[in-house]
Amino acid sequence: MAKAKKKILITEDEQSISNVLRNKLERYGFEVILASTGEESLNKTKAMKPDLVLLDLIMPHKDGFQVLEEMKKDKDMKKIDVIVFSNLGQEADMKRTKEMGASDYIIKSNMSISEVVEKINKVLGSRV
Amino acid sequence: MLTPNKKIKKNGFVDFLNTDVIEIYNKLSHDSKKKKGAPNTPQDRELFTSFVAIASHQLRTPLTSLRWCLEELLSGEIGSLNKEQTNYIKQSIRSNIQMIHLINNLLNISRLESGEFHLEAKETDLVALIKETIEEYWPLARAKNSRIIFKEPVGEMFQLCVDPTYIRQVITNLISNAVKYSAGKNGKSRVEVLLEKKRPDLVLISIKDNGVGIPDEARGKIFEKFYRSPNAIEQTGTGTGLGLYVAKLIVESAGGKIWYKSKFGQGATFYFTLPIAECRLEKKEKSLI
Repeated sequence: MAKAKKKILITEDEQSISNVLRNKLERYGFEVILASTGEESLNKTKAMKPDLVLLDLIMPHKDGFQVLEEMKKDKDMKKIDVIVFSNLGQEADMKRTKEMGASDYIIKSNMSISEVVEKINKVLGSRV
Repeated sequence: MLTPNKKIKKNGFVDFLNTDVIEIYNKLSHDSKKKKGAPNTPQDRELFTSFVAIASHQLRTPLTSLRWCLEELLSGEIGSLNKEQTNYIKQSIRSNIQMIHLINNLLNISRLESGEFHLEAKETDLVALIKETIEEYWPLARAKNSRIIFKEPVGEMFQLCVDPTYIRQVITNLISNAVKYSAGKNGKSRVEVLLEKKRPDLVLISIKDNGVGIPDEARGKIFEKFYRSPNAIEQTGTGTGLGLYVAKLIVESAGGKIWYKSKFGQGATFYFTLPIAECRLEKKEKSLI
């Protein structure tokens, strides 16, 4: 029987970034769901139970910190891996999201798209 | 006065972001806008730091999109390219990454010059940090036919209390220069990175290249903002003259020193030291959200 595809939810309000990453991840055998706001991300995470959420921090209405906080308080969502995915490069933000339960932090502009895929595989691979 | 951070806390970061960055700039006092250098009141310094941080974030976003799209074209996964197309895409990626480095440097300058900035020191494995930084820089070095060799110290721990983000920026800037100004000599170049304990309370990091070297006339000026030596301009027109200035600001903020030795035409070695000290209570860097 074919192995079930791993599901990734990309939470990103910049369409050009989510599109290129979605295409890449689909080519690498992932199932990809897109969300462009914090609310949409929470609703889709709850309903579709992705294996991993890529979470931007700066989004309209509800920012990534609020999304992460709500996810980690919810019994259905708290075990889902979250990689924070931002262009805010401040050490304080990285530290805060790690303390809130994020598995990793990516500064988008400092990484190649292949390195992002590697990070995702690494986080998913480290799950027991 | 309504400072950006207060407004962020009150209304949420998004409200702040949706106001045009120019509007934030316009809130700076007339004096600070006209004068060169750091803004001159604490409120203006805070406002200016936030302005640059947000402007940098907004500049990085389209550059990320551009970088990833170009990398996808180059990967060949969505179709093959001919040789000329491949070269143009490679050139575009290099320019894009250069622009990202420039923005990172400008952001660091604004923070360091504002006087509101504190390095956020934490226990850091310096060996791992150097290796990661070299790996990140590897594609650009390879494109320039340059080899980066890290002479990893054996049997010694290099656990330091430093801010990894900023020390990474120093190493990146020095490696970037070493690669940039070595390229072209026999088509190949070699950059050596060395880490050693100079004294029980001091580590020394050196980055050596076999490139064009630094002329005597540049001595004393090379760490100045926007300065580029004549042979550096001749070698490559794309530098900004900010990398060494930023490196100096960061190293000195961390309690270290930075200097170089060079013979014109025979390469250069840049050195910087970092004090070995235990991490005490951290000074908090402000989160922007």
